[in-house]
Amino acid sequence: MLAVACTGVASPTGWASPVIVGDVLLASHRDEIHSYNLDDFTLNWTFPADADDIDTVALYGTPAVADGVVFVPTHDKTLYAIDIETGRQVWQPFVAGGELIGGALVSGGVVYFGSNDGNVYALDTETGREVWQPFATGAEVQSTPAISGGTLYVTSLDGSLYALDAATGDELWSFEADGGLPSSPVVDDAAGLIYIGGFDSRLRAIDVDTHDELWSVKAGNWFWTAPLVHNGVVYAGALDGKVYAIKRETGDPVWREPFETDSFIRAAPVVAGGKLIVADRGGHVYGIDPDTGLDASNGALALSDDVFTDPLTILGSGGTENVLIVTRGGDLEQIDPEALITVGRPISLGE
Amino acid sequence: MGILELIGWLWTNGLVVPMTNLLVILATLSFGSFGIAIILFTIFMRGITWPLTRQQLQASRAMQSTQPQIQEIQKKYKDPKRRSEETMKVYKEAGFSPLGCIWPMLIQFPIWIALFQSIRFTLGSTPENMLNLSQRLYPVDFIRTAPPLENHFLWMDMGQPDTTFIMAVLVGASTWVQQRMTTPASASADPQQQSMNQTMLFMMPLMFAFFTLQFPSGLALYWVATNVIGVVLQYFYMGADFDWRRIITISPAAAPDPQQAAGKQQQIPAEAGPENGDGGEAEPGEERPEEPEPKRRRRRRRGRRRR
Repeated sequence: MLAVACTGVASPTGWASPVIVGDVLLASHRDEIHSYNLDDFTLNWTFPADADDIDTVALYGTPAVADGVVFVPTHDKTLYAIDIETGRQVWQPFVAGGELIGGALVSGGVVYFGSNDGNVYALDTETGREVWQPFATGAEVQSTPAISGGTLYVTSLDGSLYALDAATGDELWSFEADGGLPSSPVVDDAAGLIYIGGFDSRLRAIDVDTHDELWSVKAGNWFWTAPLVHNGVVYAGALDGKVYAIKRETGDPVWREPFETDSFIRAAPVVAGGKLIVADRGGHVYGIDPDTGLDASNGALALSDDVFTDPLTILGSGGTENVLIVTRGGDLEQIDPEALITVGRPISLGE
Repeated sequence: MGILELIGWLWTNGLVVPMTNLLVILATLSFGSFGIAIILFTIFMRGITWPLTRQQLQASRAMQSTQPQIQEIQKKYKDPKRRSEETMKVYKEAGFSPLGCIWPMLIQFPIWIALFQSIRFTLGSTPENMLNLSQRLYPVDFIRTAPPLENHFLWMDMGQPDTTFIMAVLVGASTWVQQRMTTPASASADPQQQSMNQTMLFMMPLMFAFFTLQFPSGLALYWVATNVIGVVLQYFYMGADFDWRRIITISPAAAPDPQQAAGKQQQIPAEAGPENGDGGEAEPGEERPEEPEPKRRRRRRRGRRRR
């Protein structure tokens, strides 16, 4: 009975995206974050180390880095501050009231992050002390905050986008959608817009000045990933397995029809080698023509496992752009986007 | 598609997915409260399984009415095969099938397991489960926009085990009451059988109370609700025939007097004579059935009259 009962129910495995800081690559898998030398992919350190006696459960939020400190949000409700050189903790970990699913954001000496307890926290990066009282939303905050011009933007599963004063945590204004907002807000300063995706299956553009919706696009399922803005076009994958391209001024579709993948899309798209690179849940990587929405790579590249993490662009050995993707199995794959092939052997994270 | 894949597909799409969507709908109608949704879900499931429940209640009542004759058979026949044959004959004449009692219990297990999965999916205890939930919700805005659901109900987090032990006690107690109401009043003449009954009497409530400590409290809430509904139905069906003192007694009740019962119950069939049909003589080495203790019987009868 127990065997049947547990079938199909996922345990937390994490999907924190990799980050590059100088010549260091920070890549997470399950409950660990690893530091690699970017030149030869040698392992510098792993957190938590065996001696740390810490169970982070899983890492979902992309870590933030500032002044040589890595801020790691974890499923065990804790934000860790780690020295990027040694992998040791800089200050006492901060424990929130709920799991930390979204990523951390650092700006002006403050690290901002949301929690499943519905709060948004702001901590001093040097001391780990709270800068202002946590801002309470109506439900879980599972996204990474965004900041622009002293305003902090936060989405919550209560269905609201909150604009907060980054210095005080006071609410400036809010926008209410028709469903929870799991995707991180993306601020488009050039257009004066904020893009949010949600459980109402809509991707919305909110005007920063009027706080009203400029346009919205409906998909066949939830928008979970943060959209990408490139050359005046907003690209977003949805859980209906389709990629949408929308003109940011009007909300009109750029392509004749959305690009269809094999399974749903949790990972955010990136542009590399002149192509829009999208990875679906099943581990298929697509190279799409950003202008036409057609397959520009003669089929998808099949990776060894599912993909939930956002890809990352890096400069390859020949000075060309490559894409890094961490699979659910913990393989770090380097992909040449032009040929849409893997480069070299995958690195098994933590080994 | 292999047979296992087909079973898996049917399990998921025929049971877990509809159940998940139903829970989401009920939670939305209950202003987002998942606890109320589970109680409504229990009532709904009880409604669907009512034909089976009615069969169980009928079987339970028939079993109750045949107990004096069963007691007599157990005392008369030492050969298990013969005893079984005669017992089945009495059951048949009373229009009662022992399987009728088992089906409603058996059907609870797949519901329980599917509900366990549905709760885990619906409450999205992990981000991966929320992703999975997105693929299981029907494409209706009303349903798709419902998550996240309010997982707190009273003192519990519906997606996590209840650490206060309150639900474990409630599950154990309600299972005990339900079990005492559905099992026959009389004790078996066979000591081995009696010992087994006694063990089962304790095992089931303890087992479910233990499960409660491991599984989401939403599941425990379902179990308590379904037991309470079962007890209420049993009460209305059995009515005054049920001796409520049995709930607080630990051991199975003493065997009723077959002679007294014979007055108002149907007789053992005439052809169902003693062992081997040889005029009531037991086999060499077999003990004759003991006479029931008169003093105890009288006390029990008086007790009933007073009521």
